[in-house]
Amino acid sequence: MSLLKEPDFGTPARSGEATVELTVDGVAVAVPPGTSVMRAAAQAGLEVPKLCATDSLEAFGSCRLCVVEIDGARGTPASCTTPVAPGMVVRTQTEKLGKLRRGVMELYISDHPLDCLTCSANGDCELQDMAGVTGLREVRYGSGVDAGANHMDLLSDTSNPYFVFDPAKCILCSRCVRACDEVQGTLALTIEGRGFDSKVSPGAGGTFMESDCVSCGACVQACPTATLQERSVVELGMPTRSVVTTCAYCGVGCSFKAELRGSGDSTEVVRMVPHKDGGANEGHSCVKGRFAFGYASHPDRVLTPRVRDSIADEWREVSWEEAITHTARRLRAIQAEHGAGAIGAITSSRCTNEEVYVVQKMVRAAFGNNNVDTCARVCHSPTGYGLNQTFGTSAGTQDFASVADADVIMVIGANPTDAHPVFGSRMKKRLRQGARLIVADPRSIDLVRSPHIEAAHHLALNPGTNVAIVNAMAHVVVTEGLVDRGFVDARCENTGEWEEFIADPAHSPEAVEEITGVPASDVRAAARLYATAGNAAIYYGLGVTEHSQGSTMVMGMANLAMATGNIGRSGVGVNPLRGQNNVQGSCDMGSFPHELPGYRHVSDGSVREVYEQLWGTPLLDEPGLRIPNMFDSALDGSFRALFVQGEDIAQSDPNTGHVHAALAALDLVVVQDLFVNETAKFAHVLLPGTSFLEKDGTFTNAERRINRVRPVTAARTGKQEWQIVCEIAQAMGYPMHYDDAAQIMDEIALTTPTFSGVSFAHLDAVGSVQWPCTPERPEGTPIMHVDGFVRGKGRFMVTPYVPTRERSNRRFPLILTTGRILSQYNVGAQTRRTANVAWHPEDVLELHPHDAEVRGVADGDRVELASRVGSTSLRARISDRMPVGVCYTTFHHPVSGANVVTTDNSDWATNCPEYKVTAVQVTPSTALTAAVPAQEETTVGAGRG
Amino acid sequence: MVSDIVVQFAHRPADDAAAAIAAHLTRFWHPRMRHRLVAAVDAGADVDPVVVRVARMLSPAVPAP
Repeated sequence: MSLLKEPDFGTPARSGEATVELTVDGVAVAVPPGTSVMRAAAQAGLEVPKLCATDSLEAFGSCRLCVVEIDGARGTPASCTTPVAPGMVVRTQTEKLGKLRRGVMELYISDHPLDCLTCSANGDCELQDMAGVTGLREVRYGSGVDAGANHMDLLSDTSNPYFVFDPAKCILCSRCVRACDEVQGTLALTIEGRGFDSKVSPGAGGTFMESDCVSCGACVQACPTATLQERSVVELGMPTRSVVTTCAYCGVGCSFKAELRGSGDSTEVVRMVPHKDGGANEGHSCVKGRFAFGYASHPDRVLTPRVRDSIADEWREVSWEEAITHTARRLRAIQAEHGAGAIGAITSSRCTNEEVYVVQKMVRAAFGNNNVDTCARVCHSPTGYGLNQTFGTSAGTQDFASVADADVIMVIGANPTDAHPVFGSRMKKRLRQGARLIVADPRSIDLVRSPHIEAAHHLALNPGTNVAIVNAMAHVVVTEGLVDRGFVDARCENTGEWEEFIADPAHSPEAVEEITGVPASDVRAAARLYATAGNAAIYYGLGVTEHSQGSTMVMGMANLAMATGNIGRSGVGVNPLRGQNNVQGSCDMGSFPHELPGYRHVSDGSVREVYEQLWGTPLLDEPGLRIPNMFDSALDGSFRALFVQGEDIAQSDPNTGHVHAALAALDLVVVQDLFVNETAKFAHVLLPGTSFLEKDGTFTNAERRINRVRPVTAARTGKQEWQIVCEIAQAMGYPMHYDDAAQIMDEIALTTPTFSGVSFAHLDAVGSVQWPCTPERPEGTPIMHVDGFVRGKGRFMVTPYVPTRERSNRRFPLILTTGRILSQYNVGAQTRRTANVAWHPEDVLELHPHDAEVRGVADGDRVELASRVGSTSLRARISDRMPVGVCYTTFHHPVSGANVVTTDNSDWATNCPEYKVTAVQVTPSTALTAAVPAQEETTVGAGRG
Repeated sequence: MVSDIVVQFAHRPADDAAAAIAAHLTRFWHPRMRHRLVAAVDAGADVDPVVVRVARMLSPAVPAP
């Protein structure tokens, strides 16, 4: 593909029917009311010259280049700020307009360095383009330093690792400032000074890195000159071609144009540019997706397979053939000695649907058991359980665009501006327009109070009391007569039992105030707002699911949404913000030990029969082992070999000591990954994986959107990951072959009703689809449960609050909760190998000033963080975001190993770990690393959950 | 631990709770885990009476580990 340049219509589209008819340069065009003359002209195929206008931003009217003549109107109005009117007659090209535009251009050029041939934006500069379009041939005032007073000596700001700011090239169009305001919503940039002294300024006159800038790149993208330019473009030059693909970081699933130079082995990624047609992101990005892709070419990449007999041995590089044969032989040998059920696999939410599908197929068909689980076990498995019980499907209800129709947004246990930043920007845009906000979170996250946004209610609940809060809100709804009786009567069941339960005074805000720590009046006010202010939407994250009652809380939120009729239309719903790029997809693909693809239980004979016929082998009808069961079984000796696809369980899973002991007990650990991660230290076989830039397949994001992942470069390892899995299965004696990844998706579509008709060709044709896809709706279903729930009627579930077993006491008086930060991603395997470390070089422990003071801890001090299961050392950050008695850290760096202290308590229904509640003590320390117990006695019981 | 599940169903009559828990364990637990639960109850483990009912419901159907 050549370099893809999307059309720029100058101003944003307006919704509605195209009822306003006008003519532009004699061309008739009809557009919706409120459309600008500039956009109408563009839709008529006529480009009006412009500099300060771009269609991602509202019109500004500063550059005066887009002037037009309109019959009956005085003067030459700016077409960007002039709305269309019926019968309007517009001229965009006249001699008078030409003179005006050249005059404007002369002024711009008189204060601009004329170094076009050596400028990094040469060939991609709108100022250069407009000089050509307007026919500029002379600058009467002179140019550059010859023109008198100028801005040529302003110094560049090179503080940001990804882009440079050269104010000498700035034309003060304010596109960067407006992009930061309107698109990103951070408001980090401003125009400082007046008149000739005006200049773009990050914050209060400091550098970009000193400012509130979040490096989303929106300003760089909006800049029409080389003022804000990617360092990679400065260093490498302009890209020459594009490949549209999907980001591999969070569950937003942004579409990007990978802009490239060279071909074949010489291909270089110059930059990643967010794709305007991407349904999830619509042209926006964050610092990770836009800039942090350098890990794909990092020297730490493992490119050749490695094996070793013992984890105490050195690695030995081997051929693919030897690695695959060795792996297959060892797996079969272990099965021969210990039984077919002694081996299993963990799939990755970082990998494509196709890669995940073949791993679960390998387990079920070649291993002959159902011992396959996925990292969603430790993040959103309660979402699958809870939404399935209540609504009948294991997925969120809305598309991302739905938030634009929300009147009330309730964010529970999520921090979208850090963890899902592009959706966070969408949300902030709606909040700036006036939607009301309820935040339920122990921490004062950015959304609670940030520029132009303030939560109507911040329910700063005690960790572990989510269910008590959601029950209290539902209690208010039911007892104050706020139930949407029409919706509930027509569309829900089990209503009577639930209403009787929830109306019990034990669930009133007053009764649970002491438990939750939230004033009853706040809970009542929040409940009334949620129930009565129009469209109310719930967005939640791991602060909901990673609790001992994660599944109960998901059902509690579903109850609240059903009781108030906030399901089945735009602007409402219950929406999980998925952590990883393909959490939704990995679950869809049958990664759980009890489910075949499409969330169909293994005990369903009719479903098994479909696969048994296609795969040519009988399948087990009983659930396999979950990840925690695998660990426990490894320690009791009944589970002996594990294939780990693209996950770093040794760092990401809770109670690190227990996980390490389990991994060390296995006879065979096979790791498929980009790097020698923490889990690979326990591996006997290391199979090099491919980065997202090398993959060919699909990811499914949190809104059920199936997006294409297209290979930008060839696999640096020489093999796609799905090929390796197939070859292992074949070497084990089970025939498994596909010509390409498209064939795998064809098999998925053939066997999974909700993926009906999905294929690479279809996705290439329509861009993306949101499952469920049916023959009647081949482009999918953006909003679910519109006319009825997937399970028929929505089912109210009784949700008693049960306190977690994890309690603070005198020895461990604080509660630790964990989360993510904007610049880093999960275990950091990717982002730690990029310049993103500039923002977060180490994990820190956030403490309330009081908790720090009583411990004699000052900001920046190193402290020991100890729980009942382990201890580690981090630097302290004193933060008034934290409530007294609660501390917080991230888990991006293995050196601090936050999960050394987290326990193996878990959700009762799904075993999702309770990362969010750990009783700890914090003391001053001089230690530098985590203290991981080398071995741990295991408690072999009847399993958990 | 099965006791973590039992407390989630404490609001229901014992027979209902036991049936719901048994159904949950059948749907989500590996047979080996169910087998161990039944064996522990058979061996006289000190457990909630609901767990005993669950074990009785599971016992005929639990496949060998």
